[in-house]
Amino acid sequence: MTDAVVFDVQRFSLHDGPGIRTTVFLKGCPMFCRWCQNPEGKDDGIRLRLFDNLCARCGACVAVCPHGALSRGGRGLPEVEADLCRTCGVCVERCDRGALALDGMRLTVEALLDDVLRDREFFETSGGGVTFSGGEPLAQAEFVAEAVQRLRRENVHTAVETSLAVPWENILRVLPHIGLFLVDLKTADLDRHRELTGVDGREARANFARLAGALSGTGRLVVRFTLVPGISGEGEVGDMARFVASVDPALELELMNFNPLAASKYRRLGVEDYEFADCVSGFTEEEMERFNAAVREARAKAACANVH
Amino acid sequence: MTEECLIDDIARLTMRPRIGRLRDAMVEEPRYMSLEQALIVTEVYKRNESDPVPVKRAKALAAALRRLEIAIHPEELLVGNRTAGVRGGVVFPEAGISWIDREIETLPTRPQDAFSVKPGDVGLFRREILPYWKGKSLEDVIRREAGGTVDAIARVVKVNQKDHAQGHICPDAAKWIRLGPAGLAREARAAKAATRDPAKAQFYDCAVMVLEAASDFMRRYADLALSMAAERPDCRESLQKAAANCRALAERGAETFHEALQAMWFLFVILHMESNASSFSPGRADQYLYPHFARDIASGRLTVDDALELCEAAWVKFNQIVYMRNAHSASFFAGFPIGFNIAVGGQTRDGLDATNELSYLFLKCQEHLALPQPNLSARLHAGSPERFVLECARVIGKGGGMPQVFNDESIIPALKRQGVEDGDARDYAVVGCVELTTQGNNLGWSDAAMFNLVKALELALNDGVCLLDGERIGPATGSLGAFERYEDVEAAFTAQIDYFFDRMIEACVKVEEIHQRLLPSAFLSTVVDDCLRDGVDVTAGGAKYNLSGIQVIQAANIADCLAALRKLVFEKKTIDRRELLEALRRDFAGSEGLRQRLLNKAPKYGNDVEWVDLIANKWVTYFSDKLERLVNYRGGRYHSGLYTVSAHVPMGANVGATPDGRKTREPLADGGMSAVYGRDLKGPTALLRSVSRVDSARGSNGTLLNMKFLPRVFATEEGIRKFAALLRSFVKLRINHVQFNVVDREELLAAQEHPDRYRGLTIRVAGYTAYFTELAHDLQNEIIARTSHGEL
Ligand code: SF4
Ligand code: SF4
Repeated sequence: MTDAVVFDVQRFSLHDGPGIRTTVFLKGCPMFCRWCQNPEGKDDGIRLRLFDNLCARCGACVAVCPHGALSRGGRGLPEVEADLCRTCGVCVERCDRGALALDGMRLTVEALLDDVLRDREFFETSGGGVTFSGGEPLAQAEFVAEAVQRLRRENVHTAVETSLAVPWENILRVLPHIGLFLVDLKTADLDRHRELTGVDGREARANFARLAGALSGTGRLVVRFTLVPGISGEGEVGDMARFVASVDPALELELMNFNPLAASKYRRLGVEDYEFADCVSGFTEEEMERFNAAVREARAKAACANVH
Repeated sequence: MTEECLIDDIARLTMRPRIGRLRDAMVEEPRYMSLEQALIVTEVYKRNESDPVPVKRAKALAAALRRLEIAIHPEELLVGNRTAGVRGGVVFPEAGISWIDREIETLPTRPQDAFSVKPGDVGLFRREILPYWKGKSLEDVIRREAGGTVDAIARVVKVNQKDHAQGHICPDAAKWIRLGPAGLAREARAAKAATRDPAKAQFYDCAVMVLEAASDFMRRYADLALSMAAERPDCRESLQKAAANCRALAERGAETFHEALQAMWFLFVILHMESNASSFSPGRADQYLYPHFARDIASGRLTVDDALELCEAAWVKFNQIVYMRNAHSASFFAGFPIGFNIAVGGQTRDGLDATNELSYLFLKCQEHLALPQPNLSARLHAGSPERFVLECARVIGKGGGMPQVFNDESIIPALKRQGVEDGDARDYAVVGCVELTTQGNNLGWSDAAMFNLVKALELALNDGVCLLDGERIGPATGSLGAFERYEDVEAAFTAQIDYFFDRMIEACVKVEEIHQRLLPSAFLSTVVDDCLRDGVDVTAGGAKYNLSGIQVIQAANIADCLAALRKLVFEKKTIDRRELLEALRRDFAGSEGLRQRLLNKAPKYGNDVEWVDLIANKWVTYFSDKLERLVNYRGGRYHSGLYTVSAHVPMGANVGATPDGRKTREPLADGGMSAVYGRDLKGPTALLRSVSRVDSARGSNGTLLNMKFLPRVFATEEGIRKFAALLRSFVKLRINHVQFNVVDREELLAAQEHPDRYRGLTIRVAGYTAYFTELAHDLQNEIIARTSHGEL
């Protein structure tokens, strides 16, 4: 039975594809985007997390750990020895305060389906379904492929949010079964791709061109581009729009505003060097309008160029 | 013009300045206690001491209709009120006098629903009114004859309708509009001629007496409007129109849409004069006003713009009658809700879709005015037009909690289960807040009592002894420390419920009997079928349907408490039952860890955990089964409701610490079907699925589910479409009722302050979700700032 590490199953998602959806967040991502909004999705292992603000420093967890992975550290807070922890969850179960949590769970396709199909009623009335997100869901393509095939058999619409920074075979596995690809392109500037995301951008780019070709005219592809304060400018947005139009002039480019809420997650995870920790708002409406204008202009020019 | 075109037109309509001025004038006028009607009634009673009560009541109402000072705002399109000022708190000595004596000094300063008292009125009240009614008013008689039982069970059961007339009725407004007081009087005279029964003859005489006085009341408004027209050339046209309408309605039924609205308003004014009760509701006004509307539009006599203005004028009027409750009751039903409930959409008596242009027009009124009254209810069913569902979603998104949504697919079968005929069930309406009723033929007595199951559970765990003060109030059924099995808890709980249940029914019977004796209501009886046909007063069982509704409080707390006991105490045994009982007795002092375990280690209602939700269903069903076996004093059936409105706060204040981790005196879950504050963490779809596991047929008296959304859900057309889809799912899940609150800035500030109550509040953005209360303070502030700009 195929399984995967999932860090959240979010019901009533309204922004991850058509209708009312359940979004499944898979752990693990080949990229390290500097602005990453789901830091718990970065690595593919399961880790024990402590929420200091909830902890009563009672030490009960330390006493029950069967693997000696916990000890009382400074200020009475438990400390986990990551190498010893087997993520068995005994301490989590023991903690009355809900101060300990594993940041992911291993789920079989079967178990995941049981969970997501609960909202079938809502999918039906809204034209919604299930979206796989992450992390990079296509890094666990086998699991996603199996899950979406099963969902299709249940007549549930499926979508995937992906950066396409995975081997083409992974994409191919899911390609016939996924109702909608929500592709996140990271930057138009290939020279900066590694600096911003930690990986070379050429693979994702090539995959995008192939995917766009395969899905041309189907409406099953949406391209999104997240704007990041201090990084994205109008020039780059124009470049991105031109690039997308050069791949397939019919493709729309959806601009996504930076989401400042992620800073809270980093704080909770105890990550102190998040670059955008103090960035409490995204771009203003006026700025977004300017970006959108840049997209329209670039597309119009590209369309003209095509005609000539 | 086609219906679709008209609906397009309605979408574009704006509110006329006159309506804004009328609204502002109304809101700015201070609220006063009014003794005027009480003085008239007292005088009539004194003069006619030897008459039977029904005759005295009729004479008193007739005198009030002829003598009360009346007033018209010069810009009004619809006229009429029961006091010359607006929003007067009318003293109604027939029903309640002692509480006013006790509270008259604090009326102007009490925290909830204050009323000013004019200088001299305190003395006048104590001199002219109090001495006559002392010991005779409904309140005093109930106290004398049933007070012992009522008090003995008061901590578990709140028996209602003890100091005011019943209300909670949807009168047959359609018939009233068609015939008017003159036509109904003709019917009553004819019926009298046909009967030889002296009791019935007296009933008909009373009916004629009040109906003739109703015609006079209308004539007085006609005269006043005419004389004002002479003085106010700027408003001459509308005043002359009002005069002509009133003049005509005194003699015949309504012919135009304008007349029909005026007739409807008079009906409710007079009902309030007779009963001073909450929740006389117009019901399905979009249905019974439609023939007049359609005729006037077709003939060109009326434009939709005019129609909207008239409806909005009615909307303003609905806020002019308020209801003065005692302080205790005001804390249960805050904001003087008078319960003018209007239901739009839904099905016809034949099961077809009933949505029409007026349904949309009424939604527009709500959008424009956003006043507390009327309470607007949208009825949805599987065949509701998409456009209507979307329009409801859009107006809900504006905030203000209206329209609230009712579900034909579950309510119609629930009513049929109570013996309501098909057509009547499909024609259901809502009275007051969420109480379900048939229209024009039912004395539903929907607020007979509220039964606090959580208090009964407290007693079951503590051998019948109240945790708050150690007094024994229930039977000795053992205590948690001695219960070896979960079933022992259930047995003790059952025994406690049974004990209070029997006493509650005893009290309810007594209350109904005293109402019948003291508050026969001739006028009301003329607009409730089959009273006029059968010559029987509505309080004596003259209505076609005679239900009595009792509220079961509160499903969510019961599920959470019993789930924690079952899982942690009896299955996993991670909590010792003696230790738990001790902790409950000490309100968890020194046992915070234990309390946290109860909170965090047992699943909670509202999270789509089937076994937990089914606990709620089990006990609701147990209670409702017991009720349905009984017959009430009027020969009708008892049935159950699952709502509290704002009573979850005072009811919670009466319950000690509970095994769900709730501390002593904290509020219970709100609404009736909602999860406990901050405990539904899986989002709206999970909550709806949980709620759907409580059999909606057991909520035939009404249910209440509150849900909260952030304004950003409604920010785009796509968002509104998704919300509309959620409404469709709600219909499919067969949940009776839901009301949506769009969270505003104040509420987010509250969430910042009390994060534990708002744990379920989520911010949803693409590919990411966060719980509001888990966000850092500066980010919360950012969201609050955006919310006040409608961006989030
Ligand atoms: S059991 Fe929970 S509260 Fe106690 S020390 Fe461990 S994490 Fe903190
Ligand atoms: S998860 Fe298991 S191994 Fe890891 S710290 Fe907790 S109890 Fe120990």
